[in-house]
Amino acid sequence: MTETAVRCSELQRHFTRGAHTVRAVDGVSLEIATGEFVGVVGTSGSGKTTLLNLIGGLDTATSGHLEVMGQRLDALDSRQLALYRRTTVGIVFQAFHLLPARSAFENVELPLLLQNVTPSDRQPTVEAALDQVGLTARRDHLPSELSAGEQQRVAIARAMVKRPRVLLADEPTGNLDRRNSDEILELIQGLNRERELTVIMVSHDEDAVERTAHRAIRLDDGRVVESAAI
Amino acid sequence: MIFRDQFRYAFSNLRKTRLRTALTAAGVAIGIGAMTSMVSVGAGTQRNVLTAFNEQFLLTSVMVRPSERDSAEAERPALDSAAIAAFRDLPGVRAAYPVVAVPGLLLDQGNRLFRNLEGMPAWLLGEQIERGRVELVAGRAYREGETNALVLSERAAGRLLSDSVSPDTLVGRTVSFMVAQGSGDSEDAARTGPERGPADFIRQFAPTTLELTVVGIVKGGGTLADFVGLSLWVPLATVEPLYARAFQDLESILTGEVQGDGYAMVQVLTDGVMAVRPTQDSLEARGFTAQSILDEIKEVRRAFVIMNGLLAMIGGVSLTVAAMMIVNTLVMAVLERTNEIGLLKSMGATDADVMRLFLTEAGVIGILGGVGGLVLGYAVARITNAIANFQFQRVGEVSIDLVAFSFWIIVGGLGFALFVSLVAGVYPARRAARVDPVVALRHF
Repeated sequence: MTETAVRCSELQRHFTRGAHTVRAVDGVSLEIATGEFVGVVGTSGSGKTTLLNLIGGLDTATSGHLEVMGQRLDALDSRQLALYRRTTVGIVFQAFHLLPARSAFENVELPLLLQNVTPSDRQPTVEAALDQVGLTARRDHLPSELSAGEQQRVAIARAMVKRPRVLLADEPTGNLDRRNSDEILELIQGLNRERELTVIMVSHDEDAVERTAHRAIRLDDGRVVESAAI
Repeated sequence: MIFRDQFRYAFSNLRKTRLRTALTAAGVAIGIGAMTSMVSVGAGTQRNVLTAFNEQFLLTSVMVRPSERDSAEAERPALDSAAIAAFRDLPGVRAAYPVVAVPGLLLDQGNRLFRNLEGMPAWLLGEQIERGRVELVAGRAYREGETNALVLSERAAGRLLSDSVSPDTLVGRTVSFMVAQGSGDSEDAARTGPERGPADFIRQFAPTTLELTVVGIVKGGGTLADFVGLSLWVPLATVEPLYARAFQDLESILTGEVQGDGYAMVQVLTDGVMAVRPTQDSLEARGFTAQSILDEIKEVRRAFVIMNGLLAMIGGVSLTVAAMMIVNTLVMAVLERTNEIGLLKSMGATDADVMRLFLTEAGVIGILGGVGGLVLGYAVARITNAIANFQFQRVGEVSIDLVAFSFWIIVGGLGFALFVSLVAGVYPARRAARVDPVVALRHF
């Protein structure tokens, strides 16, 4: 029987903007199995990124139940959420968010610094992560010296270096051309396959989701309107 | 994050903004430099004054008397040889000896002088001559173990002899000292008033004569407190046997009461003026009355505290400005690195991790500024010293070292720089810790 990686029911995230309440996520209920590759699609403002932030423990729900790898996130305080982010999830962003003054190696090393891994243990782990994304030769380059595709590879290596159970990717190909997009999607697909990694990828590119994901979930106005296997 | 990584991370962040970090650290350096240079000059001045004070016999001594409190006689501790031995064991005490003075007549070939014959330990007399407080005019000081030797002041010798005779001629001569002694009979002493008849008085007033050899003539060499005066000094062992039964004053003659066992006063010499107060406290805790001349000049110590406080405050103003620079630098860093903070949080950094990171950066600025400040402070203090000594030489004064750049100033300067930097870093660090990762990653 397949384990459940993510389970949420009646999940809500509302923001108050003056007199208005924005219902970014409005009663989402879903289950994602371990090792499943799920694509979340929808128009701008449909709540895709907010849902990803909730699952990533970056944001907290207004109400509802959210469980990731057996941990109830709605019951965790901010410190426990930080420790959850440190160990359970890896996040890849559309804008890469690499530290510009640090080399590829140093960027990938960051999560291990937070995990108090000693320098002697960090070195081979970071090198293996860079090798996996094909950037061993570019380890000492600054982000500004790398192409957009390479920068996203570094970001993926950084997300994967701590061996998370769940990879959250927020528009990972949003800033890339077609060729680089395909390479990144292949890389993520490979990680999903080889490591039985649960992947939740937010994308406005439905074609990309169809090519890579096992299932597509469509959000509209903060609600799940479609969940279909591909 | 382990501390080494945290330190390296903070250091590399500061290196990215070298100029800003250098200017902020320079601000701290100026503050610490101002503070340490002023405090070191203040401490040096204090040290020089205290050294001068410490060489003064009167300023470092405590006079001990039996308690004057209204307690029963039996409860008052005796000021005797055992008590003096205990005083010598007190911390900060270098010597304790009884003040023994017996009034009497010094007689020499028909000349006479009524004065107190004072007991002074041979080592103390030697020390006073060595320090220049007492100057030998003729002869020598008496030595340890020597008895019945007299050293008298030039003025006392002049009073004793006729004007035409040089005081030097007394050296080597044997003179007499006549003391009025009591019988030591307690019944005699008990008979006072009408019951005490002339016969009692005469019987008691039994003069005792002491033969003394004049070994030296001295005069005062000090300027602060000339305690030579008309003194007649003999070794303690010479005068102590007379002391217990000698009449001290007119009252004791009329009442027949003599000192008896114990002493009326004991002089305790301390290691320095700073040891006087604690010694006084210890002696008073033991039930004695302890007084020192330093009681009268405690304002001097207060003045030093105020002076050092004022000097440190001037440095403190600079350091306050430096602290504001640190706050400004780090707040700028928080604003510039909001994205980085958000990213670190997305990777699992806790609020405390982020706060520690910025406090470490503040601490690194503080240490850099502190080290620079100590170098600057030392240089400024040395320059101040050179300028002051140049002025001293111009007006014919001797050169002195005005600077006391002690280990504690170094430790204190560095510690204070670190402390101020960390305090200044608290606000930016808390601000960084409060950054919402969602907002930081979306907008920066």
